[in-house]
Amino acid sequence: MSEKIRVALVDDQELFRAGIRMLIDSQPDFEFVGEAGDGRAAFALAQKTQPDVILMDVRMPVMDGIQSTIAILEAADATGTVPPRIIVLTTFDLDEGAAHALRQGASGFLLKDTQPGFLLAAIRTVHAGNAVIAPGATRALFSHFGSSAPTRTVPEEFASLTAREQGIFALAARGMSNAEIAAGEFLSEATVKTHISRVLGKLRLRDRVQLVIFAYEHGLITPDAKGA
Amino acid sequence: MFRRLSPPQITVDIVVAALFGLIVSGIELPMTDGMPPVIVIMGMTVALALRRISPGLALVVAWAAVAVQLTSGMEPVPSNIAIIAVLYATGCYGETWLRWAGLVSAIGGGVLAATYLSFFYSPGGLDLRNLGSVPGIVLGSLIGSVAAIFVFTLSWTVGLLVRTSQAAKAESIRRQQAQQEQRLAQQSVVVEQERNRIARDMHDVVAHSLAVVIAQADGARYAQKNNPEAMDTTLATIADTARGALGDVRLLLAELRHRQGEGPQPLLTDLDALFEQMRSAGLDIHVTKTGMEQQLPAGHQISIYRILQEALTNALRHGNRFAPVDVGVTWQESGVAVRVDNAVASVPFSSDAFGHGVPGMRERAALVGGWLTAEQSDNGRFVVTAYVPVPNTAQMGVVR
Repeated sequence: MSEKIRVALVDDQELFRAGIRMLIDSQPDFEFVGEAGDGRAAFALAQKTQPDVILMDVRMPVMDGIQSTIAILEAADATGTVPPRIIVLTTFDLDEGAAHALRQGASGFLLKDTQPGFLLAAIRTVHAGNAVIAPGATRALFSHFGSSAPTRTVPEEFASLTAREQGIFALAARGMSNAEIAAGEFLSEATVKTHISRVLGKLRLRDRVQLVIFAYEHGLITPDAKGA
Repeated sequence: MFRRLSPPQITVDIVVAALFGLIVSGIELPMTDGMPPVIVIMGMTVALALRRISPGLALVVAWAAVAVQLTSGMEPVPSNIAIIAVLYATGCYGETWLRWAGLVSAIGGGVLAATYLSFFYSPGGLDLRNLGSVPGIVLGSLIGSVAAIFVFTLSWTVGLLVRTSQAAKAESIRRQQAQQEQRLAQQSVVVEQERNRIARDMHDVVAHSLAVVIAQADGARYAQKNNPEAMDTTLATIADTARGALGDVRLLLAELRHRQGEGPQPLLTDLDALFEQMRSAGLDIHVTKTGMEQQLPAGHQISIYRILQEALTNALRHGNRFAPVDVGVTWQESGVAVRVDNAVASVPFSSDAFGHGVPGMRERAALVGGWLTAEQSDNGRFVVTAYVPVPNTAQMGVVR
């Protein structure tokens, strides 16, 4: 964490980008690596600058944020580089495009009018990978746009989780951070982190927000379950 | 087998048949005795009662009664009139096969009746030893046949004609209903499109501008420490953005109010008002109209109006407000071409001019069989060109 978090910004509104850029530039632990006005330019930017976190608008000309997310993550997987974490920015809290982007591998979504402190914290959280940003809003999004009834059968991989891992899975699926799980289960944060990464590996999930979606879509958690 | 009749129709058929039965009984029975006449009257009465609810069954019953009549050597009787009604019913209400059966019955029955009568009226039947009487019989049979066939097929044909005219009437009512439904559907599509357009405009104007204002204000607040000069430009940006958004909101509200007050959809006659409205919002519009104006259906007129409205709104929102906007309306024999040519703003306020308005306009043009292109030329002009054809089967239902 001593290294600066490299942040890129993608939005079709130049003035919006300028505002967010000032915000990011003001933080000593962030480095603003570049901005792009559409999804295709974002792909080129990601290839060139290898950012840690990308803030990505959904609706853009030329190529939208969803397609851009898919392209960037696929390219990173293909070359074996560490994929950037992508945070989707939306105007509306129930944006189908955001749901789509999350299913395609984005790490979280934020409203464009989010408080700046929350936005900055979200970038750090997503980069560290130790919690899901806005878990309640994420579940609300999927109860609105997710597969109509979460009746898909639980895949075999889930059975390969140990009892301990299943317990941690359930807590993480509810949106609890590593620290909260550690405190509740009397474990060290490092242990929790190890368990989480083993769960993600076994379920072949990219990110812990995908864990929440997985749990929701397979009926392993109900949408109204209280977030921690 | 059985047709669907209303209770009053069934009642009428039964009452009419019962009266018929009573009357023919009153005429025939006093002059005859034995079972066959009673059976014939009953058969004819039943056939008359059944003719509408089941013309096929009525035809079978009538033939059965005729068979009894012929085999028992009876004369033609008044109750035979029912045959005419049954043949009419086969032509009017029957399915294809039954209509053919009715025609065959009319011709065959006529021939049969005439032949039977010729024998019936030559006492002692056909005398084979006196073949000289044969031509007379043949002639009588021939004349009787023609008359009977004429009466029977006439009733069948009248039934068929009535049927055809009823079918035509029903078809025309159905077509009217379909047209009405289509009109309603079109109207609701137009309303839905309008609602979507307003929602889109709201999103473009309000949400985008507010997102910029928030981002700029937050950014400046956080940047203050390291970069105090940023404050000045940021505040200017915020003010400009809010000012532009307020202007757009004013325009949107004016459109909404205009639409609400007017009720019906705008037509070509409302174009001048549209140009005035846009001029008052700050656009310098130069309109050039050429060619003979043609009659267009309302849907086409709405499309042209909305395309021009959208293009001018885009010019106001994304274009250079200080350069004149050229609007051309060119009438040709086959249709009308409209063209909006405006200068692009030196610094585009937003780059989504392509994203939102153009597909909607293109869709509008396509809906009425036309096309639309929108392109930015190298000399910094944005040109929207649309063509709406005059429909071939011109049904001008425009009332305004």
